[in-house]
Amino acid sequence: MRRLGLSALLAAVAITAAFGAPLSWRWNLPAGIMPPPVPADNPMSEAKVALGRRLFYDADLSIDGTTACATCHEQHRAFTEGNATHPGVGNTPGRRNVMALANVAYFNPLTWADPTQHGLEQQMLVPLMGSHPIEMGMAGKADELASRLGEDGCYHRMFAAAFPETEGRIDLANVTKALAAFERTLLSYDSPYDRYLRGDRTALSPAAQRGAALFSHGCADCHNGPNFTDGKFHHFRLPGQGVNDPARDRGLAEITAAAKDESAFRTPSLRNVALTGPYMHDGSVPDLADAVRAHTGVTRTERDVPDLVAFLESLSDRAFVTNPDFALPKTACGKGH
Amino acid sequence: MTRKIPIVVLFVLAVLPPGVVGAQEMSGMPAASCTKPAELPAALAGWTAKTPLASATDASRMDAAMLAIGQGASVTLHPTREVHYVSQPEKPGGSVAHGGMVAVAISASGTYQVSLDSGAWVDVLKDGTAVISSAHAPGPACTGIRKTVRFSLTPGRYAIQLSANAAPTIAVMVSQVP
Repeated sequence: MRRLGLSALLAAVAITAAFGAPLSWRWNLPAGIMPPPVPADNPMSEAKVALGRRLFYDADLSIDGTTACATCHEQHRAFTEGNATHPGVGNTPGRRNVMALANVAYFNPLTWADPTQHGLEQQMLVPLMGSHPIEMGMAGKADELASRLGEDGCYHRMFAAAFPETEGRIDLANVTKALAAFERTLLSYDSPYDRYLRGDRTALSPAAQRGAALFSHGCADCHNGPNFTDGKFHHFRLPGQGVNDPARDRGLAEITAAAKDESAFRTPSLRNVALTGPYMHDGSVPDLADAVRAHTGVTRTERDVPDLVAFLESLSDRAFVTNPDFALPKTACGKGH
Repeated sequence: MTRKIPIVVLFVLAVLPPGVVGAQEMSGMPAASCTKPAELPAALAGWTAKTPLASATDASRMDAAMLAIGQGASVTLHPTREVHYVSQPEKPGGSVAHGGMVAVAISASGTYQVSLDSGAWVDVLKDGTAVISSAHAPGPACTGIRKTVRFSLTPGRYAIQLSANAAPTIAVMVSQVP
């Protein structure tokens, strides 16, 4: 057998460093889509993904046991939910519309308006521990979380399999790593639009094809790439909302305190957008057509709206929202469908 | 003739490198500021005087946990791990939450509303199969009803599974929608 040359070895190391995932992990991606980045200290594994999936649906991750990640991220809605905003534990008011999770492994930064959120492991702490708003209400309760999970024999086995390097330690760090690993598997590349790109010329209706052409003029300035987001922050003020409206969401400026960042929000992905309403950062627009119309800076006519909507509807991936690998585990130890 | 998508569009949409850069909702609306209780519509009048009812922890005990249509009940729940649901709830609730099962007999086909004073998850099942809800909404402001879920039901007996409730009791009422 031929030995690997130094350059090949260096290339392999570079790839591993860049993506952090063992080359053995099978991403099941279509041709042309690169694997998502994975932190070197949290490589993918089947055991970790299975654990993350169980944790994702476990409401013991909230202070009163009422709220799991899946409470707000419902699979049949492409991992969003149907309310404008979702109250946190104790019925505390929500602030922003729940973001979709399809292909979230590629997003950087994460969330609507926080440029410091660069990784899923870190971002998990926002709903878990955050107070602005309170979502799952676990601030200061990391030990209690570990204690709760530690009462379950299945979790002992699953953490041991997922984290042999820490002898299966049940703690917040491993919880967030497992959740992140599961969320990295939430890949959606089988919409009619994707099938059209792969050569199925029947996959898009004529209206959707016209909409795709229209979409490239303006919409794609921000909603571009395979996930229809540039990952950047843009000013977006809802029609009728004034710059001095005290009720407005300051968006990025809330973090940066810079006047230029007032009402700037990260471009959301449009994957499965027909399933993820209501729309906009505050969920104030219930209808996809009205969401198109709300983009006042983009040139289009009212006649264009149905075609644009038809195109956006072609981004719905039915296999993704019905994939049993992403659903609530039916067995106690989180395996099986 | 079908217009083709310009190749430049597909390039913009697809070639940029990645990473560059029937259901019911769990939620209700945050409580409104209420100075006094609001008057209930006639169909919900039974919400005011609630009768106590212990929920069942398994299907064999459901006969003792019957809800009367149009009559509110203050239902005692159990720690999640003590409840053996007929079918896995869509939102199971954590071990520190509470749940339970009650039953209701429907004699006339129609739309029925389950009203709750919390954001708990509610599944309605007939013969072990969940009925898909037809609508959900917050309750009328200042009535103590936080969440309502509607179902189209035909005559028969139904199991109502309550899960993911923070408190060990929950106010529940099933009423026919006029």
